[in-house]
Amino acid sequence: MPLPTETLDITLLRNNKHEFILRCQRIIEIVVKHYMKTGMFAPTQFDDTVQTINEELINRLHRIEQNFNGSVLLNTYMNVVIRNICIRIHEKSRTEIKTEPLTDELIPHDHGNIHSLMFQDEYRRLAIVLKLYGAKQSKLKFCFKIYFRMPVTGLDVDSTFDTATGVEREYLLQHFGNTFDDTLEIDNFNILAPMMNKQERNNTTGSSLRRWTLEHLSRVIKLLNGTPPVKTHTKETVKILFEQFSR
Amino acid sequence: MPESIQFFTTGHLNEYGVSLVVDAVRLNRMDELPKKIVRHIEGCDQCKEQILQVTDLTVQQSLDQSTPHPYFDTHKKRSEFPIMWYRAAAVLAVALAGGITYYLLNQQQTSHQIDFTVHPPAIESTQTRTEDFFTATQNNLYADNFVPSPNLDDVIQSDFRSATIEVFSPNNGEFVHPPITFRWEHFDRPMKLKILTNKEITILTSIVTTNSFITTKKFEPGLYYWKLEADDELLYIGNFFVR
Repeated sequence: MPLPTETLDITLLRNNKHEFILRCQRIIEIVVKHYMKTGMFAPTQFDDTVQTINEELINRLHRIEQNFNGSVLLNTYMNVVIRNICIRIHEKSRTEIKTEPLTDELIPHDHGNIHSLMFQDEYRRLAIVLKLYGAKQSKLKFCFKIYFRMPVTGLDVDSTFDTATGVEREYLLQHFGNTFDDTLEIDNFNILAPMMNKQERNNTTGSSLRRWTLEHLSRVIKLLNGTPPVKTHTKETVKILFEQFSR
Repeated sequence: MPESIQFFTTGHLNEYGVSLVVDAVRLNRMDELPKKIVRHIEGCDQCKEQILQVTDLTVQQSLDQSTPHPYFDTHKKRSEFPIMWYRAAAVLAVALAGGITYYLLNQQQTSHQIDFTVHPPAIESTQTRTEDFFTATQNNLYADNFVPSPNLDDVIQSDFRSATIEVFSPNNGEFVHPPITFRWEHFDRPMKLKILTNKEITILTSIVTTNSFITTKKFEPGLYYWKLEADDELLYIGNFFVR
């Protein structure tokens, strides 16, 4: 459930900086608590961190006012600015990741739903990561399906291979349309490679396509885990999330 | 709005660029992002991570959709209108020019006697058209040699970034003229140097034991990739252009 925040606007920034800073407090609180959850700041550092962010923000307000070009939502922009300040504070202090017990405020009270909430959160994050692959998204999803041995649908084929003929479409569905647990991984990619080559006007091998898939799978895992890693995603957890994603 | 204001001089997205993508993710308007930004984030994990982190933060906050978005609803619409006007103006201009030509031709036909002379076929113009077609095809083929390989580009941009070996030349994306010199830091094992076309076809393989390699091979103009491998492990991959 999104938490209500005040809407920020440039007129307020220009005319009433004090009120603008006050309205930023909710965002600062959300950002700092988020990074506390990841272990970047200890819960005992909360007040100090908020104070430091406010000081830096006040120093930067004039520059933000002059430079803000109005091309994005000011709320989002302030999230980026406050996040960057947090990262800088963390880098300056060079504190190690602290994993202190979660306070009542940080932990959901309905323990029965914790796993479900965490799953939903990670599922949403995977969906964003895949979205950020832009035009490569459909290729990546198709290759992940082959790697994870998940049956592909006609829709998957159509969204990935817009140059495929009816025969080629059937060929892919024949191989990958149902469970294909008994085939070798490399054979699956060898089947896929010519179709991908036709689509991308490329000349790559099944082995190279498999490497590409593994490379991107590890990049997705790294993104989900964060830098420094605060989660422990593996191929298996991504597979579970991806299965849900593909339903 | 110039796209450069969304990028740092380092080539990565700045605060505006990141904010715009986050807005796009939240508003489900990824398709409307500037192409340059989409292309950049496709291959840049550093920017992907920033976007993911900021999205993690903003999804916890309410999103005010009552006012139009300054880029997607205001700027884009403003910039789309002139294009539509230009298109309409172009169609009108073509129609007008066609009308005038038709009118003048009709005028000529009615005011002059009909010419029954048999004219020789316009061989020259046919030849010119053939040559034009041939040149266009050649240009397409030529341009085709410069199209980046998505797979190899991805590996170049990936994080492993030749962690095991430092390369001094050629720099990525450098225009070079044969003979081409490849130089890297000392490596204690023999390596395999491979040069590939942008279609991922290997055109040269050589075992190298020193820290440099020179080739006098003639290259067609285009984009090329080169790799250093040891014991089937990829140590480095880079690219260069030949004019």
